[in-house]
Amino acid sequence: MKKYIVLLFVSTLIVACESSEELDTQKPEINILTPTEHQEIELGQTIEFVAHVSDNVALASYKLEIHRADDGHQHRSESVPWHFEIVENLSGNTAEITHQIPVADTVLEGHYHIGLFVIDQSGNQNQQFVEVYVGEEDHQH
Amino acid sequence: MCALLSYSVIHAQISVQGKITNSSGDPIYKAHIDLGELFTTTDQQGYFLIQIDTPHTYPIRIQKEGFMSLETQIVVSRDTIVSYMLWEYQEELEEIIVQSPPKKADNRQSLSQEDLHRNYGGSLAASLAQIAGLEAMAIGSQNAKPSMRGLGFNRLAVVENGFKQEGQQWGADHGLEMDALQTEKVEVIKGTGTIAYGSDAIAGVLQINNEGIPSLGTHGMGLMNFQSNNQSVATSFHLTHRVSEHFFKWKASYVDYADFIVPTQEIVYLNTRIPLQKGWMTNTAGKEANAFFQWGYLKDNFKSILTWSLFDSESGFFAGAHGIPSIENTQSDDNRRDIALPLQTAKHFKFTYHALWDKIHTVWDFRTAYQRNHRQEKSVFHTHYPNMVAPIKNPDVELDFLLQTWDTQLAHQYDWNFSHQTRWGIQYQYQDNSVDGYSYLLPKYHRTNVALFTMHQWDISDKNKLEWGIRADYFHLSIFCFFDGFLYEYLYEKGYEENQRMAYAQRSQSVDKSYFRANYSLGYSFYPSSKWRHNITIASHFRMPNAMELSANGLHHGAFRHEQGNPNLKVESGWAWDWNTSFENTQWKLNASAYLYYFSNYIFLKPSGQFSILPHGGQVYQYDQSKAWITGVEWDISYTWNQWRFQTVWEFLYNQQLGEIANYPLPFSTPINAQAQIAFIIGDDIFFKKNEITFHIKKAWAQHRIAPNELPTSGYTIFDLQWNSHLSIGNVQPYCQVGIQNLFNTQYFLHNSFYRALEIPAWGRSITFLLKIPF
Repeated sequence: MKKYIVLLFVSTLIVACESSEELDTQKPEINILTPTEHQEIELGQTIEFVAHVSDNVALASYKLEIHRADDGHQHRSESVPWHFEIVENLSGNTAEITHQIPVADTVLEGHYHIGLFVIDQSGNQNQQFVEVYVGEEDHQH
Repeated sequence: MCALLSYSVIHAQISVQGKITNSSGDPIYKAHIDLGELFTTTDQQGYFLIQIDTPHTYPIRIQKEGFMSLETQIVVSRDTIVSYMLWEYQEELEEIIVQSPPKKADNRQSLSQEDLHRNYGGSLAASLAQIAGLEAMAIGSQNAKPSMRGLGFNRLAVVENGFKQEGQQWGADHGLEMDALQTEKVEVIKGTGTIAYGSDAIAGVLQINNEGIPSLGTHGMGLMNFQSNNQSVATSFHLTHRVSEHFFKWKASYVDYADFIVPTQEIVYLNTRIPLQKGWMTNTAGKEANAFFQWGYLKDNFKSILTWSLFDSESGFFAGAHGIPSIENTQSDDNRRDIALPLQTAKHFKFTYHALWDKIHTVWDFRTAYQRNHRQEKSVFHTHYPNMVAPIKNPDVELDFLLQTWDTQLAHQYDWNFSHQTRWGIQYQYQDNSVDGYSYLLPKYHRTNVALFTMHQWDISDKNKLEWGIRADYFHLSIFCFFDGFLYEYLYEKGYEENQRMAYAQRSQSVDKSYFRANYSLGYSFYPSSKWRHNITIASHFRMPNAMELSANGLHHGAFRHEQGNPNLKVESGWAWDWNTSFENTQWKLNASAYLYYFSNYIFLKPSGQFSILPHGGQVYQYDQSKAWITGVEWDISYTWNQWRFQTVWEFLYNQQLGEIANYPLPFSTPINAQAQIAFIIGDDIFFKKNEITFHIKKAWAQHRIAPNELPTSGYTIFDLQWNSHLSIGNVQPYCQVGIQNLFNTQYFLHNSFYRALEIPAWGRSITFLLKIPF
């Protein structure tokens, strides 16, 4: 009886050692350089977005999006909440993602989330968020 | 001539006559006598007569309610006169005997309430985690979901008093709604369970029995537990009262806990450094209240038990990592006990009725139940759609699920003779799920299940037992569609094409499907001696795809994962093979299992590589199916030497999905882990009796075998220390236990914890105290 347990145990270990070579479960790495957390961006200015991304095998694509972060407490005004979104393909192990994103004068002031989502060729996904304030000064809503 | 001879042989009958009396020599009327294949009952003077055809050695069994059964053998060569005496049940014995189920040919282990209290870990799943092959998937401070051999959620059936606990289909962020302090008995069945319980019993079954019959008179128990880490205070009591034919049971528990503390000053979640003030996990406090009432009626061979139970809990979500990292939300408000938004509530109400008519040779078993599982996730109203406003009623309810289940079961068991027993039954279940809240995740649905099953048990000899079963299931599922008008408008304003707008705004499509399944099982037990027991089971299993898997279309709350259901999914099914060997003598105790599970269509989430167009939506994941297998071994060995007890538990698990492109491991793979325990029993003192000091080591190896988009986890070793004793104060013998968990305040991650993905470590050091006063 013990013999079989040992046998099964050993075979389990062998199988365990065999595989997991070609399997890519490592997520891409993301490092957003600018803007920085809580940076203030005035209306009419441009967001300089710079991020380094890398992957152990190969990058596939990214999505950059900007959404309002104020929990939906809508201020009824002429201004409109601002959305920005772009999806692009990537290749190779490393890439630098840069975008100059203009902020229109009509944008509703407040906290915004800038999110960068990256996927590699095996479908591993990573994401990073930076919260910025769009407007004159950091006043609470 | 030949016919005449055989005629005379048949009629050369031998009579076996006898008298049955009680311990004072009075005759027992209507005692049941089994002699080989024949049976009869005694008359008013306690006499019986059985005619048999052939001289032989026959097994004889005498049964009567209120008496201990007697089983022996008699040699019958000519007319025989016998007399037997039956012993009356002792009250304290009765409780044990009534509850002990017949030995089954499967891999099963039992735990009493004492075992659960000794290993109390804040939740039932955590209290069971010391059993080889079981793991608690921790969710926050004091909630956990059980998992067996890496299979949890709807792949492990949790059954209370014969009814499957529902609500596990709601996802990873809530625990099992069960009172851990007042659970009477748990049986862990590995590798089989489909024949009796149907869908979801893939890994096995956690069978909870809260229908124990109390002893005569009034008894009770008060319990108090304290855990320093999350300042958890639990109080619990039960009271039982039994007079002649009636018994009553009352139970209540209340648990209140504060934010828990992790041994770190900072966590890194999604590349954002989140500082933790003194390691406090802000807003992870919670509370739980339980109530239970039972009324039982016992008369001769009839038993009727009515049970009403309620579980009500509320717990906060760690706001710093609820979706997008937020440093502001981790700022402590200096009140560790308050529960602020975001939070969740879970309510479980259950009403069950069980009637058992236990005639000799034939048992009728009827059960009916209603359970109501209500869960809410509350969060300050937020939306990405400018045209959506907060609802007037319950503006903070983000998600609301109300699952109501009606179950009715009838089973009949027949003992053919000494060695054959057949059980058959019919089960009916109706389920209704309704949803609410300003967000949408799980669709509204109805589900009907009708099942027929039969099981047969054959005691081949004293040493061999065979059991087989077959079950047929019919399911009908109706999922209601849902169209998100706000999302449609939002996508319209953003300039998306009509086909894309429609594809995303249709949050669930209507599905109307019927399924039919047949399942089989075979178990064989071999007892070479009273010390050894071997058991092999081979059983098919299945799981109905849930509404999420069939019809969902949208962002999975907080996970940036756009999940897409697939209405063409087949029933998840496969086979399980389980081998168990156990040995027990006065010094050694061994329990070892090896298993292999095979899935012909395991349901999983497949990353598509395409981004969702929804705000905060990462990649789209589609529900898909593939072959998969799981294998492993686990063992538990203990050795007692004088005042010492040594115990070691090991668990190895390997699994693989057999995909089209790559063979990834399955999600939630339990890492290789081991536990060692050294206990020392100190001699009795005047005041402290049965003192025991236990040193416990738990080690888990690193887990690098992960499913796509899981995180690898490093190994860890943690140490616990515990002292327990029965105090002697007059007639009262309170039980007391003091322990230190995570002695060295080690920082480690639990691979299958809900907080793993958020990079939040497990609890730091905690001092625990438990006091139990029986009265």
